[in-house]
Amino acid sequence: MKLLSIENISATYGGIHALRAVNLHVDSGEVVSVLGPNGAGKSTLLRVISGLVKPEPGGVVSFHGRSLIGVEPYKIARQGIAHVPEGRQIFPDLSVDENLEVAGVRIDAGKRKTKTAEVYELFTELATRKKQIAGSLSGGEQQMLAIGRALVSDCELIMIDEPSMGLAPVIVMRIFTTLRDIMESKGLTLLIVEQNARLSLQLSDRVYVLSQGEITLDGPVDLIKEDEEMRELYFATEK
Amino acid sequence: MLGLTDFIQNLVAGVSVGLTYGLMGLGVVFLWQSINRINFANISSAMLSVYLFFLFHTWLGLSMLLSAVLAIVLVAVYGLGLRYLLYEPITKRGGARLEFVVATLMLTVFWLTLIIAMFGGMPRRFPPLFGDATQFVRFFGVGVRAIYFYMIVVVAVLMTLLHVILRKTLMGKMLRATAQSKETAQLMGINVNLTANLAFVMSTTVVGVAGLLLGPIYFVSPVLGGGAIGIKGFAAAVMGGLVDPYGAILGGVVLGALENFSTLFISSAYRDVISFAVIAVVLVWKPTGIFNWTSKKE
Repeated sequence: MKLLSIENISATYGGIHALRAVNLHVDSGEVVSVLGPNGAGKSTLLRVISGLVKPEPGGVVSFHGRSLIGVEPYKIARQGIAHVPEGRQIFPDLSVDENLEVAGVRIDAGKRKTKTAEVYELFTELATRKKQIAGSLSGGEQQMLAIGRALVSDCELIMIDEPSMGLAPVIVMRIFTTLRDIMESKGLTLLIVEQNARLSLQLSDRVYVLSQGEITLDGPVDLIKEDEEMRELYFATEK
Repeated sequence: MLGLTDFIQNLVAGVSVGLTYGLMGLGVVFLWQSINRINFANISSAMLSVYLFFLFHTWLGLSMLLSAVLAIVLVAVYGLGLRYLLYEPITKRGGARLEFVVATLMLTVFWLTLIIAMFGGMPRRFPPLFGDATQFVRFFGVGVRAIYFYMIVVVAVLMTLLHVILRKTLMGKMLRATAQSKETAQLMGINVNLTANLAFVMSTTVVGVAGLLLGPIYFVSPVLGGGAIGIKGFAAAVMGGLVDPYGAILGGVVLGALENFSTLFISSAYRDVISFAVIAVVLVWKPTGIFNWTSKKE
């Protein structure tokens, strides 16, 4: 079943043609990766979905069959789409607890408590820093908090923008493994945007390759791994 | 020789007047935090609340308490007006910070001239909302003018209330989150329209309350909507780096005390000269605010 559907989406961002006639869909329960180098339009794609960037007219963005185009970003978030933005964007002057709390505005206080407790169980380092100002956390902990916020929101679809950015490989590994676990145990759907092809391929069911705003390749992960162009990209990130 | 009693009396007077400057500074901080704009039109809120109170009580004969409440409510609505009739249209048509600042400056002058045209430039008697202005109360064993006592109590209650709202309620946390990143707040499902409204309303309301507190000292006069008092609010806010609410209050207190002691030790004529000279030096020395604890935690 199609959860998220994107048809013929073009968008300009910062004066550049960031997306050109992109088609993409995510089924319920899938992990889908969008791979591509810096500046390929990956972040713009997520920003279009969450309503922060308006696409050019003529395209379709729909969630559960309902159009998201022109809907205010906060209302899109409340429909159950959590966007973990590039650079994590935690609220630095709010405590860890408060960061999680404000992410759960669409659910009632009781459910928010349960969800918060689950996040602390998953990321024990956060549990010991509940009252600490989020700006004082390490990069890895901040990424955990950013993902934690998405989990507290009780969403159906999590979109993550470059979870590996600026983090040590060990931590990246840990975060990706946790993501996979969450996926399976909670029945969530994941859309990941990454430069790190190697890790994303391990995690994903299907992959899209985005290059200069266009989808140049897409398919199940096993097929993508065989592709020559993909091999280049795959090895390029190895260096 | 300055006696201890004189010293304490002057300190209390300075601190309490300073607290009201701090309240005006809070008005600046709330808006800067939520929309990243300096709003000079908020200076008028102090004057408007006092004249509305005067209008309701002295002209229309309503009770003092009801008049004060109505005045504050209308000033709160003025905050929404500033958003939807000024900020939103300017922003929608491509105006940035400078255009907004100039527009709000114009609006301040508009209110000032309107008030002078309607009520004349001479001060009117401020109805005794806080009792007889010449009355004294005992405060730590020292006789203090009742109005200073009310200033301290009202600001303390208001600060506690704001503290609880900002730190303990979900709405307050949403407001702080929006202040830190409007975009990310939206991604969390926070209705940033609502938090912006709240910020506008809070900013004019606190300045309106400050106006009523200053009434017994400055009377019902256009001075409350003019430069000198408004600028002191801004100075208090800048001492808190424009972002720290507690810094703004403390900035106001320091300013108030400085003013009072300048009057006591030097001359009342030079009071504002001295305090503005000190503010200027402090701002040049530490433009990010001497009482700014908020933006240093990175």
